[in-house]
Amino acid sequence: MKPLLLGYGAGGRWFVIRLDGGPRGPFVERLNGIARQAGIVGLSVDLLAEPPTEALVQRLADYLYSDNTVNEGRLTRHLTGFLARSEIPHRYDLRPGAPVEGRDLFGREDEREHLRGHLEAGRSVHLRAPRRYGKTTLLGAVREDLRGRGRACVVPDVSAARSVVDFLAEVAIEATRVETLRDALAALPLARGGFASPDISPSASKKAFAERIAGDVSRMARDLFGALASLRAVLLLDECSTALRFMLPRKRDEARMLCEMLSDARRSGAAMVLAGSSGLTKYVEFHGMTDLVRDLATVDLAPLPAAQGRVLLEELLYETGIRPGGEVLDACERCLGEPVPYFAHALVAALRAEFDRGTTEFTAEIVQVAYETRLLGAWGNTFFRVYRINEQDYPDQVRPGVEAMLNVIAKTKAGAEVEELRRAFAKHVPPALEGSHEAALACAQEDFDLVQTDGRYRMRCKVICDRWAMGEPWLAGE
Amino acid sequence: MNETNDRGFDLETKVMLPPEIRGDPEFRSWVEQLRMSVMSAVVQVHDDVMAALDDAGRKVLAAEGRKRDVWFVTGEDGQSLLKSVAAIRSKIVRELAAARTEAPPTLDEVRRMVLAFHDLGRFRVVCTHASDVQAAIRELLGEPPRNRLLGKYPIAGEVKDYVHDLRLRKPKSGHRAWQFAAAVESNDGPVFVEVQLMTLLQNAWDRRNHPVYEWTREGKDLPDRWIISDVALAETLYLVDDQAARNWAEFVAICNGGAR
Ligand SMILES: Nc1ncnc2c1ncn2[C@@H]1O[C@H](COP(=O)(O)OP(=O)(O)O)[C@@H](O)[C@H]1O
Ligand SMILES: Nc1ncnc2c1ncn2[C@@H]1O[C@H](COP(=O)(O)OP(=O)(O)O)[C@@H](O)[C@H]1O
Ligand SMILES: [Mg+2]
Ligand SMILES: [Mg+2]
Repeated sequence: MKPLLLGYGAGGRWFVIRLDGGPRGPFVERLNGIARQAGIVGLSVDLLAEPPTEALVQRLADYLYSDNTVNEGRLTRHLTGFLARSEIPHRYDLRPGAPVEGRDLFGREDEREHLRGHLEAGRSVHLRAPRRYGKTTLLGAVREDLRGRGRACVVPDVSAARSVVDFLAEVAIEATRVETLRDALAALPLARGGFASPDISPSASKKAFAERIAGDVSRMARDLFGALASLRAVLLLDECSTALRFMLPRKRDEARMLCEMLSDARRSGAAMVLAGSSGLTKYVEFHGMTDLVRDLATVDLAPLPAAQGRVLLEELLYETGIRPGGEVLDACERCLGEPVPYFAHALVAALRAEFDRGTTEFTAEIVQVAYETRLLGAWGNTFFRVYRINEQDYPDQVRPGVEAMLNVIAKTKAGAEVEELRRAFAKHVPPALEGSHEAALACAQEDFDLVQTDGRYRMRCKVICDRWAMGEPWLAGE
Repeated sequence: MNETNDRGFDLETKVMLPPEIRGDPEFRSWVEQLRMSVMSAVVQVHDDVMAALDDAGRKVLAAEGRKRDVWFVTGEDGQSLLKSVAAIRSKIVRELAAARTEAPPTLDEVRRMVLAFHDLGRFRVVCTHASDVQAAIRELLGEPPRNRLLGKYPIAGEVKDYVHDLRLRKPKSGHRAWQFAAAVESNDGPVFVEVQLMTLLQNAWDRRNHPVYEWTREGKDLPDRWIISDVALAETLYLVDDQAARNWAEFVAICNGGAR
C-alpha cells in the first residue's frame, strides 16, 4: 500500500511522518492527540498522498515502541524541537568509551550551568566524579559554552605530568595552541619567541621548554598564569588528579608545590576546573594540603536521574535499530540500577552485539542474559579496565587493604558497616598503616562511587558493583 | 501543502462568522482541531479503498496477462485528503451567504455545517483507462451498484456520473468524473468522504483547470468563446479516452492469441 504522509506544520516548517501500510487510522488518531497536547503555536496538519517539498520526513517506526504503541515523549520532543526551534531530530551515536560531543551529549544541563556559572563568577571548580561518569564530555561542552561567550579555554593533557615542570610545560604549550592567546603569551620574557617549536616534535618541544624554565619555575608559573588571567582564559585541567596522585606518594614536595602553584594562580585571578577521576579532595586532605584546595567550588557528576536514563537508553536503542519496548527498558533499568551514561552505552552495545547475531525480538530475558554474559563477561572486560584497582594509584601497601574493603562492599547486598571494613582493611595492610583505613576508604569512596546509607557503604553504580562482586583477580588484584 | 489565502473572504462576510472564530488565528486553530479530530476516520476509508483496489488491480493484471499501471489513489488539490483550512473557510462563507440569515450563526451551527460538508475528506482514484474506472466502480460499489462503499460506508445522495449523465453534465464545465460521498463515523459523529473516480486525462484536465474553476466560483466572468473552446478540450479528451479503451481491449485480445 502506498505511504500516506501526515504533516504537522508551524512557522513555515513541515514535520512529516510517513505512514507505510494500513490500517493507519488509529495511528493518525494517536499522533494527532499527541501533537495537539504538545501545544505548538499555530499548528496545522495535513494528510498527503505525495511527498511535499522541503519537509522533514520521519518514519512512523521512529516513534513506535516494539508493541506498536506510540512513543509520546520522543514524538513530542522531535515535533516541538523542529517546529518551534528548527532542531533536526538527533540520532544519538552509540559511543561507549570516547567522550561524546555536540548533540550526542545527553542531559547534564544543571551541571553544565553550574560549571559555567562558577567560572563566569571567577570561581574555580573541582569537578568530581569517578572514572567514565562524563567529566571529559562535560568539560568539552563547557569549553563550547565559554567560547560562545568570548572566553578562551586551555585544555592541556596533564594526566602524564610527573613534575611541576612537566605540568607547566603542558599548560604553556597547550595555551599557545589557542589562537587568541598565542601572541600575548609569546611576549612573555621566558617564552623567548614561543613555547613550542614547529620544527621539532611536541615531546621534544616540551623537553626543550622544560629545560629552559627549570631554573625559574615559579617566575614562569607567575607569568603564565598571570597572562592567562589577564586574557580571561579558563584552564580546564582534565585528569588532574592522576598527576597529583602519582606525585603524592612518590614526590610529596613536588605535589605540594603543584598545589601551591595552582592555588597561587587562582589567587592571582586565573579561573580553572580541576577534574579528577579519583578521590582528589580526600587524597589531598589525607596529605594535609586541604588549605590549598579549600577555595574550590565543587560540582559532582552523579548517575543520571532515572527518567533521563530511560530516555538515553531508548534513544540509543532506536539508533541501534532495536525498537525499544516497555519490558526491555524495564529490564535495562534493572540491570543498570542508577543509570551512568557510560553503562547505558555499554549495555546497548551488548544488545547490539545480540542484534548483529540475528536477534530481532528483544525480551527482558534476552536483556538479562546479554547483561550477564556479555557486559559482565569477557566481552565486557574493556568497559571495566578503568575500574581496576591498579588504575587508581593507591600507595602499594595500602592497595590490598582497599581491595579487601571493596570486596566486602561489593558482596554485601545490604551495604557494609564501617567496622567490618576496618577489619578487612587491617587484615591486609602492615600494622603501621592500619590507622589509615579512613583515608583509604575516603579515596575509594570517590574512586568507586561509594555512598553511605544508614551508616552502611555500598557502590552506587550497580554495574560496577556486580562486576566487582565477581571477585575477578584481574580487576581486583594484580 | 495548502496555503491559506483569503479566498472569498471580505469584511462583509467576516461579520457573519461567530465571534469566537472571527479572528484569523482563532478560525485557523478551531478548524485545525476539527480537521485533526475527523482525520483518522478519513484515513480509515482511504485505507479500505486502497486495500480493495490493490487486490482488484492485481486481478485486472492477471486477467489481461500484461504488466501496466491500472490506477492510483491520491488526494485532490495539493494532494491533501482533507479540505484545506482556506477551502473550508470559503465554503462556510459561501453557504452562509446563500442562507442569507440576519444574525451570525453560533459556533456549534458552523461546526455542524462543516461536519456536513460532503467533501470534508476527499480523494481521487485515477485510472489509466475508462474501462478501469468501470472496474473500480464495480469493486467499490458492487455489481449492480449498491448504496454502500465496500458494503460498509453508507453513500449520501446518489453516485454521480458526470461523464454520461446528461442531467448532471454541466454544459459550461469540463469536469468529468464518477463521484460519491461516503459516510464514516468520526469522533464528531458521521463525516463524509468524497471519492472521485476518473481517467488520467480527466485528472490532467482537472489539475490544469483548477485555477479557472476557482475563478468562476468566485463569481468572475470569462468570455463565452473561451468557455466553449475550453469545454471542447475536455470533450476531445473524452474521445481520446474512449478510443484508447477500445484500442487497449483489442491489444489485449491480440496478445492473448485472439483475432488479428
Ligand atoms: N552526557 C553524556 N551523554 C551521553 N553519554 C555520555 C555522557 N557523559 C558520558 N557519556 C558516556 O560515558 C563515556 C565516558 O565519558 P567521559 O566524558 O570520557 O567520562 P570521564 O571523563 O569521566 O571518564 C562516554 O564515552 C559516553 O559513552
Ligand atoms: N476541479 C474541478 N473543476 C471543475 N469543476 C469541479 C472541480 N471539482 C469539482 N467540480 C465540480 O464542482 C462541484 C463542487 O466542487 P467543490 O470544489 O468540491 O465544491 P463543494 O465544496 O461545493 O463540493 C463538484 O461537484 C463538481 O461538479
Ligand atoms: Mg575523561
Ligand atoms: Mg467538492
